[in-house]
Amino acid sequence: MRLVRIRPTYFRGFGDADWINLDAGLVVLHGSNGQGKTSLAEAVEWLLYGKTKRRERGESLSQRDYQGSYRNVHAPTDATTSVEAVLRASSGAEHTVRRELVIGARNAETSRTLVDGDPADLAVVGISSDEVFNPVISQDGLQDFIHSKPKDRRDKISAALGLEPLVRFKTVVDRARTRLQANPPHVIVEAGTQLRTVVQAMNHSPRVVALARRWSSERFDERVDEAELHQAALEFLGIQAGTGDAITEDLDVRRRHAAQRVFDDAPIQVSPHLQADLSTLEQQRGNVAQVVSALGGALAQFIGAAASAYEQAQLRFWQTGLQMQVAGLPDTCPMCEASTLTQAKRAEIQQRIDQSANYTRTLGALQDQGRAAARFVRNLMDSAGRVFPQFLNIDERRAMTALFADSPAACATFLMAHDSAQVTYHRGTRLMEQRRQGVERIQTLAASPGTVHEANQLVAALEADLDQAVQSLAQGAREYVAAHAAFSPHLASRIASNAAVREIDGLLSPITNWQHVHVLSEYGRLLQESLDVQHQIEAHIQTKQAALFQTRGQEINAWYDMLNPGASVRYTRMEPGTDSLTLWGETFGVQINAAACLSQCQLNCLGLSIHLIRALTAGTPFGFVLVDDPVQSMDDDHSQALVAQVIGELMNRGVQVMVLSHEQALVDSIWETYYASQPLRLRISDFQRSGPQIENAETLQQALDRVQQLAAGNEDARRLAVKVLRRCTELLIRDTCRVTNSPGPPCAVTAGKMLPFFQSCTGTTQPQHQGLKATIEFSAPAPHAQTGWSVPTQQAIAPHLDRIRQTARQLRVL
Amino acid sequence: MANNPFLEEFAASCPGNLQRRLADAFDGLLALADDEAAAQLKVTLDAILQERIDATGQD
Repeated sequence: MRLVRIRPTYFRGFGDADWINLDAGLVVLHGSNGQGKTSLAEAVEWLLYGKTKRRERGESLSQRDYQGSYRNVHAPTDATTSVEAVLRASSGAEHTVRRELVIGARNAETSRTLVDGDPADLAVVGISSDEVFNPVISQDGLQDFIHSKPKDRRDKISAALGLEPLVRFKTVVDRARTRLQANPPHVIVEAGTQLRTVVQAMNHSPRVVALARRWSSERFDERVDEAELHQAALEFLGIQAGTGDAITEDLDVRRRHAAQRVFDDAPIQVSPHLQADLSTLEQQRGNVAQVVSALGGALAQFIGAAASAYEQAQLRFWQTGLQMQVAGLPDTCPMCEASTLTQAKRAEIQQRIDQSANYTRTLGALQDQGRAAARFVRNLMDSAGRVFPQFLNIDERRAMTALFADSPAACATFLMAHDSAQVTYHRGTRLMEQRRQGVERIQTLAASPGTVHEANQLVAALEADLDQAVQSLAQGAREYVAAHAAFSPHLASRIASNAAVREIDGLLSPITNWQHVHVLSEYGRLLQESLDVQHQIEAHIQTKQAALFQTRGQEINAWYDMLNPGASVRYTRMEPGTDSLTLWGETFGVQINAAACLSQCQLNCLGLSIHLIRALTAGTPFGFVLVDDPVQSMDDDHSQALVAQVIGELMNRGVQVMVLSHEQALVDSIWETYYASQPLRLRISDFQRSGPQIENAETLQQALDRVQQLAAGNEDARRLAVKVLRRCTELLIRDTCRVTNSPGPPCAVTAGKMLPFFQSCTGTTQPQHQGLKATIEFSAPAPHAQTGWSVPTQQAIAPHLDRIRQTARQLRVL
Repeated sequence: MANNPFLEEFAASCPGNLQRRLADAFDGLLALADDEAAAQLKVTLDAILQERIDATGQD
């Protein structure tokens, strides 16, 4: 892909510039210092990459100093800073690519790209953002390399060889790893905190002290550590083998027994199902009203029935009378055996018998309700028992007090709560028991006129009594649970401070907290693997460097040798180290450190060589190289080698070469050496607020004057005069095409092939066609190489010069 | 690996998953400055760590 033309707008030193034509195989641009040559080179670089190496280097020193430096300071407020270019692919297809500077919040500079007028990534036309292909060889880039530290030099060389992403990758992995170490995720912090407690516990178990020490130093090896812990537990338990679960279970049992020997806390433990038990108690409390209501109803029915009934003895008397009558003793009184039972008396007796049966039935119902109520109260008492602990007996209480003899406060507070709960429990259950006994014999109380009021009182107060008792018990249970929860850690700590318990805890703690070991182990492993990745990247870089130097080192040397032919003091090779790059040279066969001993010119040549192999990397999308002031520190010989060898080699490879320089001699030399290749010669000058002027430095008039001047010279001058004469024919044809608005010839075609374009121009005549053809043949390069060809004389050149001048005037080109 | 063949080559040359994950992640961060890329890569390391912890938990 070649650069056809470019238009920087308000970029760096440029104002609202016209298109700059670059459509030639070789472009030389001359300009004094400060005229904008480097701005043009940076415009190309910024267009392709959205950044420049110069700016990046500057920002690494001071971001503030370089902020806003892409935009021309004289640009109108509403003007857009942009660089636009027409690129031609090898297929001949042309694309207009454009990059616009975008100033965001806090003056942050970004850019957007357009391809053929539409927003698009430049990749759509095959322009890679990979720095390795950067075709712009800037003057400060060469200087930068010369003055680099060995490490930076290695990085730059790596970058030049295309390894910059790998070098950056290593740096970024290193920084990411450092961040992971300095700021680990929450899960790691939490696991670390937990593991510190585990390690403290392990320090009391001699069998795992060494393991604890390793963990303290954040050295984990899950497989080895787990085996070591397993073995330690087996030894402690005195068994040969066992699964992890079985070992844990055995240790738990041992621990429980050891803890019980210190203090058995079973009497103060709360139910593990406390919440469910409390809920049951509350539900039962909700049923109290219903149970008492049923009992009250049964009692009322019974009392009603009893009020209208005979005494049981009286009833039995009349029943006996009836039985006697049935037995055949009619009208006979069972007492006096006289015939006194009248019909009316018989009916009355029967009625009373019926009433007596009702009495019996309601009494039975009352008895049933009484028993049901008693069972209900019993259930209530059972539920109340489940929400309270067993409570300490006097010996247990003494043992606990002794355990806290040195610091009794927590124990005393708990015992107060314990005693209060105990009182609440006993008071509540005693009341319930009294009520239970009452309702259990309620039918007895109700059946006797002397105690029936007692039954009524019992039922009337029963609901309130039970409700209050349950409420009090539930509240007491909750208060006890809170007190127990506050006290448990103290008690656990006291128990755990026992040596025997401690030893078991030292084994149990790492087993039960193994997940934290897993987490920290994974963390440590990832850190180590990240470090390994850094080493692998480094090794890969070195391998790639070695491979690249093997395959491309000769290329570097070839370019370098072109610039330094036959030198006795010279660069020879590069030797990449782990974190440095040594440049080796030699002086008369003795190895020297090139960076220290070679001249700046030689190092400059080396930098140029490296940049050239980079720009010519296989797969590059660019078919051009732009070199900004390449002859810094170079003497005439090196400059001439650059012109004769390097530029020639590049052109032989079909690379479009653009050279920007302030050296008039260099520009002239390139111009004359490659004159036959129709180089494009530009001049950048007259730098103003509005930017520099860039104009074609070669006009037909100038070329004709030069021919006239050279034709009067010696043989070498006349040989060049013939070349320039040929150039005049080409310029005449191009200018004629332009003036007559006719299609012009493509870039880099010979004058002979350009002739048909001239012939097709409106207004040209047959004699002009024939005359121009004769001059083209006269100045053709082929005969120059033939044996016997002699350099034309001034008299032989003059008619052709006159013909070109006359034709140009006729066609109003001059 | 969309952007850089050297990263691709590196990832392919190493047997581990971590190298590929990091190379893949970095390939998408090439346009960022080193510090910013490091911050993003640390997020990737966090995620890899969590995945490994979770995988251990599932075992």
